[in-house]
Amino acid sequence: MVAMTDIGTASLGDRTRFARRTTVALTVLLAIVSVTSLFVGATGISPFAVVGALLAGEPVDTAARVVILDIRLPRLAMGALVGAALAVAGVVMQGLFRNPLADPGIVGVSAGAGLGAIMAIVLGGLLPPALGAALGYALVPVAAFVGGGISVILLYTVATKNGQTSVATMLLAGIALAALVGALSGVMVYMADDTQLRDLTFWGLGSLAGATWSKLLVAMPLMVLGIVGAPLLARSLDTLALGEVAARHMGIDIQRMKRIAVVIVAASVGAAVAVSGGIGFVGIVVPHLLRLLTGPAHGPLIINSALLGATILLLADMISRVIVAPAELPIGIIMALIGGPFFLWVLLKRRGFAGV
Amino acid sequence: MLTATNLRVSIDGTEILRGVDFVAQPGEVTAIVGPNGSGKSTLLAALTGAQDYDGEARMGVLDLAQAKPWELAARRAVLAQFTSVAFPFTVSEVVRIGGGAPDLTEAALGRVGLTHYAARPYHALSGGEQQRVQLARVLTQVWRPMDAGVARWLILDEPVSSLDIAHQLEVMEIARTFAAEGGGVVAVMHDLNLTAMFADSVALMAGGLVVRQGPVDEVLTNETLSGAYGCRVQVNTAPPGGTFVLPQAAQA
Repeated sequence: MVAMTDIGTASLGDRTRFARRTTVALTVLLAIVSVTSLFVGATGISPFAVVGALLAGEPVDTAARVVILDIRLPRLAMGALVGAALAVAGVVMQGLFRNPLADPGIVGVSAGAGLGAIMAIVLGGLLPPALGAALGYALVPVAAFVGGGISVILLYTVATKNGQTSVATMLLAGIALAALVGALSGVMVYMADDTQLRDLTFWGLGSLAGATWSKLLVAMPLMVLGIVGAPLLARSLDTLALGEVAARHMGIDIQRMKRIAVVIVAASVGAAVAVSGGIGFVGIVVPHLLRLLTGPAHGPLIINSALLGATILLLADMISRVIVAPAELPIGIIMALIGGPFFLWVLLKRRGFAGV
Repeated sequence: MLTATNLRVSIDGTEILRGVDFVAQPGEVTAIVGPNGSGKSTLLAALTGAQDYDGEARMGVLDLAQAKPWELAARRAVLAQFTSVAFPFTVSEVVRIGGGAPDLTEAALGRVGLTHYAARPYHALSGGEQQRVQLARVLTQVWRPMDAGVARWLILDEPVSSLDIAHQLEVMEIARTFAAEGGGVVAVMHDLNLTAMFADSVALMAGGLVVRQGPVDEVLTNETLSGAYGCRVQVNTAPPGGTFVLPQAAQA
């Protein structure tokens, strides 16, 4: 009986089942990469020895313990979460704008979130002490969330008319937004003192190096909200691919869907930018590859993008750790080196396709 | 029953519908005809919840101004003149977006004669084929014309405008069958001959009004058509019975 229904669902041209198998494969891949990343670093410490000793209740070398549990493990968790959040934000934005070029980094949403974060770093001290204390570590992610949210709304308002997004307007609005945000960030940098300046510079290059459990704990809820919330939009985004009017005809409350999408993008990008700075291109590379492989249906696309986004960011982070060891190349630079050419390739391939 | 009473729509200060009365019965194909700019598409938009209006419009017990999108979606499906698809879906994935089960996808593609196109990229199809895929998608949304004794509605905006004659007939047959099984069909039509062949009721629009609605032989007459379209149109009857339209009369 089960077997029969299984055959019945294997409709020709429907890539759902292949997408499900891809999910399994990507989960395995992420697990392997995650474990591997615990081994890779400036010191040759075996995580197995540390975990084994911990489980056996034996005393562990303090240095090894710190490296594995307090440096590499939070960094692993942070990398996976940031990668997943950025990739999912990319899928949701592309679905919302009905365009595969809508990447949070390219159209200025990350920059907007970044401005929020920078303002929090530089001006955080000016807040009423009670409020500042209440927000604590959460100040930077929350500010980035607000900045990201404002950017998405601004961009959508400018680029979309009657449910139709003009790609040219979207990209141009992104440039304008980035310029404006860049100028405001410049003002902030001008105001910053030496310590803040150093923080800002390193943060802006994009890095997971500063990952700690306390930082992670603060940014995690927002990223988890985005990653877990996005699959709820899968059906709405599928219908939206046929246009706003068709989506409404299929029973979708468009306004509600847009509001949820903006919150998801802002939460994912805001939190990711707040903890890792300017890591770009995850949101365009990952969904694009998966669309080529398993099709654009958003249900599997969102889940697979989260998995592949996490995997790619962990891989890029490993490269960043070993390529100039014992120093580190910021991961943002590595993603830009991969993502820049990729974006150009997508542009070349799409020239003349469906009016884009 | 689908009814509109004294429907008024203004867009950017221009009055598009000026008090439209319209009625469509379940079990019938109701055609909306009229010249370009007479308000056909706007009326359809109002009847599908895509356009705000003054006046009253009801689909059975549903007040169209109040109904939620998902309430409407369960009762009626809409085929637009053109549907743009944003991402590289396959044909069968586009049909799946209609929300039907996978076996329904196959059945619907079979209904529009595109079974063997299921695995093809949607964007590689011709305009007419794409329109038939959209019809299949729309059909999955209201697959059973009657649901718990209540009629469902198939609303078609110029469903045959990009099709060759064989597929025009095929699509109109699908509409007829849907009506014969108890559902209601409302279609905006440009081809008056097809209208005469397939419609039970015709609403003729001109200048933002339904100037006349009724059976084919009462509405498609020399006087009403010539008045509405602003050119001389002559209606004739073919020998076995059935109305046809002769545009050549304009040059006589």
